[in-house]
Amino acid sequence: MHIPDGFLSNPVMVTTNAGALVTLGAAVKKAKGELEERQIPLMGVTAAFIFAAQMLNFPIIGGTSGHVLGGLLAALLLGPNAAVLVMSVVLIVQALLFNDGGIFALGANIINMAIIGSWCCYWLYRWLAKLCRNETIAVAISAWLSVVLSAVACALELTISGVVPLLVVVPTMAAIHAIIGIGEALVTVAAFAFVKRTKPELVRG
Amino acid sequence: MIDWFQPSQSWLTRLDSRTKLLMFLAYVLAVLSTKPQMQTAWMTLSGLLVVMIFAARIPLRWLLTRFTPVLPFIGLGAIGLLLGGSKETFAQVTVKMVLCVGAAIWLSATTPFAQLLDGLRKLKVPTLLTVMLSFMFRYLFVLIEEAARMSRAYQSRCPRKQTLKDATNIGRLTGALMLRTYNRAERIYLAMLSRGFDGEFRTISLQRMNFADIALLCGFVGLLIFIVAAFRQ
Repeated sequence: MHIPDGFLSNPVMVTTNAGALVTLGAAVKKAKGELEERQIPLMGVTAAFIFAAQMLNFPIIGGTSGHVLGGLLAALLLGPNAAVLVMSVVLIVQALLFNDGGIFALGANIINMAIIGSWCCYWLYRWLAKLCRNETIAVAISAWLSVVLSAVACALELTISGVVPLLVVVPTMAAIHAIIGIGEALVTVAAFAFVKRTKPELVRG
Repeated sequence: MIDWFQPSQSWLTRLDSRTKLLMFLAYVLAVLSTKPQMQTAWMTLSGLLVVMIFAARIPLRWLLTRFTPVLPFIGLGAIGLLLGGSKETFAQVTVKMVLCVGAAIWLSATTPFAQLLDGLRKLKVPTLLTVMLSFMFRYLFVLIEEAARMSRAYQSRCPRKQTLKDATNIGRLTGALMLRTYNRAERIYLAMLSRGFDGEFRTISLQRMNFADIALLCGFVGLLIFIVAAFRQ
């Protein structure tokens, strides 16, 4: 899902980078208001945690294995604004250290996985939790959606760049990630419940 | 495990990280600015990349494993080609992706991440970002090892794992890892406070942009501009 450099057309690249910069700037401003100084080390270490959590593999159907992406989990634990920063830092390290995702495609990746997968889905979760009065279901649905919506956003960016046709890539990406999303939902629900039971003051759900 | 990211030593390792970062950015920009018909420019840029990789003495196996993240996207491009997409678009996208990733591999093979962070700090990237990046990098391997230990302990006690219940257990492990992380972060922060941390890292930096750096950077950027301009049809 990490788009490399060279795939996006130049207009898409410029637009996504500009959008990501503006949103990140807003998130920094908001996060500075609600975070104390001691949160900054916590955010850095949480970014490392998200990365480490992605190392915990679990089997999906037919011998393949998946791992949690952690966008919604980060938002549930740190609040949406801090989570956007944390996920962006994870993406930057993945690009710079592991060559996973491009530097000029970073804006697109941040929009897909940090802004849509974390920030938007957090508010979706808040809305769902109010709507159906059941936290577990709300977490499950929004965790699933965080994976699927990021994948669809990624597919749309690839389509607009003119490399792959819309009618093929969007359903394919959505279908693959609908399966991956089940794992994400199960893991996020269990992790959220576990943290809430043992250390309820940590959770911002 | 950190050694894994430094496969080779060469004269490029001793250069200032800013030089290499700017060279990398310039190279990627040059690749991205090429047009579909500029095959000669692609050849020249590929040749340049090969020279850079040889100069950095990157082991071939390490190089190849690093290319794996692009493969799905090349596949995606191939699907687009099969479904009636133009050959030129596919060729363009594939060449650009391979060259850009190659340059990124070159950067991470020649520049230790700690030096790269130092370079970013000197290039006036916002402090919030560099502090977070430093913390993340410092604790990344600690937490990855912690996760690996937990995962090993779980698998050795629960070898039969084919059900979705497994995902729930992994979720609990993730929660436990989060709590350990949080406790660790708290301890770290208190320890740092007692040593006078005020929200910013002050490190001794041995990196200097000297004449060789500036000359190499200028020469490299000049060469890129020449390549892109010369083969524009």
